[in-house]
Amino acid sequence: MIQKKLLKLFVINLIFLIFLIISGYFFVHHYYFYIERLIGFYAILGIASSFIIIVLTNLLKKIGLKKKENYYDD
Amino acid sequence: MISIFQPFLIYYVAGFLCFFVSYNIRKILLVLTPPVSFLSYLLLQKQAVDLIFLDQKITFFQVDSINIPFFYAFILISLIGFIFNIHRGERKEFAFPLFYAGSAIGLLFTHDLISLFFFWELMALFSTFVIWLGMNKKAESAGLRYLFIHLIGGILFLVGILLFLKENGNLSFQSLKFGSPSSWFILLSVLINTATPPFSAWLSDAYPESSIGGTVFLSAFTTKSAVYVLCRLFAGTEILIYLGSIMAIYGVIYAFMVLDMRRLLSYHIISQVGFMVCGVGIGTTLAINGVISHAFTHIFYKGLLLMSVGTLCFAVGTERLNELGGLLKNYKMIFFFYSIGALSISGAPLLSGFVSKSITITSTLEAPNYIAWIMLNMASVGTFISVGLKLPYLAFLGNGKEIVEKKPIPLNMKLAMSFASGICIILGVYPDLLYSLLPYEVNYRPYTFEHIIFVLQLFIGSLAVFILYSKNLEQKSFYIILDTDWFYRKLIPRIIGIIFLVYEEVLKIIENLFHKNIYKKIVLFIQNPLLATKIIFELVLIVLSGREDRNIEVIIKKYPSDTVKHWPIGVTILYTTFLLTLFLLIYYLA
Repeated sequence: MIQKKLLKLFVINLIFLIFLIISGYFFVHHYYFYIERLIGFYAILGIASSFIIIVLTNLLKKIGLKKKENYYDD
Repeated sequence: MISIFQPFLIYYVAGFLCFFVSYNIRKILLVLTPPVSFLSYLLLQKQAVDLIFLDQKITFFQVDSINIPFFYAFILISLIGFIFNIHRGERKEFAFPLFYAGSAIGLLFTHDLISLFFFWELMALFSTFVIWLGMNKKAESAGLRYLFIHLIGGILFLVGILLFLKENGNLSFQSLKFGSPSSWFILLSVLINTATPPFSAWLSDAYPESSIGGTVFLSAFTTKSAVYVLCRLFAGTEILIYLGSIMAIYGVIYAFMVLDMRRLLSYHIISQVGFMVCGVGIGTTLAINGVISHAFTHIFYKGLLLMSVGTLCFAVGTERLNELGGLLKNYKMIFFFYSIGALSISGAPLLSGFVSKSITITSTLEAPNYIAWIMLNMASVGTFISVGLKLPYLAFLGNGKEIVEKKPIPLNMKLAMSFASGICIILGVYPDLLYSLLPYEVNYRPYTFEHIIFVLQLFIGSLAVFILYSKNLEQKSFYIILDTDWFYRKLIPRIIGIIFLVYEEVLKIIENLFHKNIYKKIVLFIQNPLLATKIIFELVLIVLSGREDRNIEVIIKKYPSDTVKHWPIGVTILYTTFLLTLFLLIYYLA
């Protein structure tokens, strides 16, 4: 049930994202630096940032930062 | 006479009275203290209050454009915090937050390093008492660690002040030239209070252990006072740009890993203060405006977030995300307040974070420093996915767990959250209200089409990734994540343990050596000192003369059984005369 809801949310989210990218392409003309002109730059930045954070946190947990609750009591 | 009514003193007097008056009077005191303190500020604001101490001019009270916004924020959050906490009955739960808030307010108006140090240390002390309001073993230990770290910070600050006095001959509050020995010590001390990694673990270790009301006060004063001091002393110090950017990322990464709600939000204090530290490093008028406006809004949305998760914790009795889920059904109001705080901290349009955080991010482009810009944007995304998505997904949405409502939520808690939510919304909708408080003229306009589109793209993009990842978030068992406090909670005790072990072993070896060898030889010598001396004397003669025909074997055979003295008295007299002559000779020659 939750999976279905999530899938639906993902599709709506994707449609909204495409709408935002198109709006940005047609209506935004003020940029601070060159790479900002890339279509959907901020959407890519958002996706890349969250991807990096998720990968990094999983990596940190795996290399041993994740410990049992009573770790400091031993 | 009027100068006695210092804003901080009103808090101290109220705190002191809390130990003696009844519960109902305490409640009135608590609610009246912030407005009375504000009144005293209005009376005093045009004058400076000085005194001479150790030939130095001490300025206890001086109002200027930098301390005003911090003061307003401190007064308001203390009022909100007191309302939130008012249902609690114990005297110390009223008194210690009053002392703590009073110290923070006192610090804001100081204009010299001695009085700054004085309030700095009082804050460290009273905030420790606020942590101990958690009233359990964990809070006790975390409070001690917190106090230890802050005392180290205090010592560094004091050393810095003394070096500053030697370098400049005065202790006036002025921008420090970074690079001098005094600036290094003072900066290090301030960075401890801003919770800059690797000195940040005290915050995430101690804040979640306080009472739910105590955490609201803790989140508002210590780090923001340190940001204020940074603004005063270190604006434009380049190293802070990088330290702040690292802080911003560090906080969100840890926040995404942990499973207890208040610890997650504590890591976000580190992240958000990172934005401010970075802004101080940039040091332009736009950046300083960004820092102060962000500190101002952060105090309220963080307070709101901590109040809403605190209320949830109060109601259901746990703050572990692995034990929560599906709470939206029963706690719609808390979800509403939490969402306002979460969207504010994420920087969503129409809320306070949007109008403040973006100033600092824009100032990195003005510098220009693209690395800081990328890192701060990444941190914004991280904030959104952990505070805006992960926490509400696991606590309010997700699979419903069997949670029994333990306590009804008191009216004062709801009132405090409404008050904080109102501030977040008003500042988001009318940013000029906030901008009018800032020290420099604000030409920045947050509500441009570009800004809104870009922020929405950033958040909707990260939401897409989060939705795909969300099923991996649910955890069956609780765990902790190691931070830099591991060094003083685990490594240093282990090293000390090893040192003690080695010390004990060395002692044993020495003892064995003493007993088996030296001790036995001494005993043998005492059994027959005369013969022992004779053997030594004979051995020395053999070595010196090279002759081996002396009767040493005969002497050794007698040793040590024969304890009777065999030397004739004449020989003893001879030896004594010889020693006396030697003594007299040395005496006269000397």
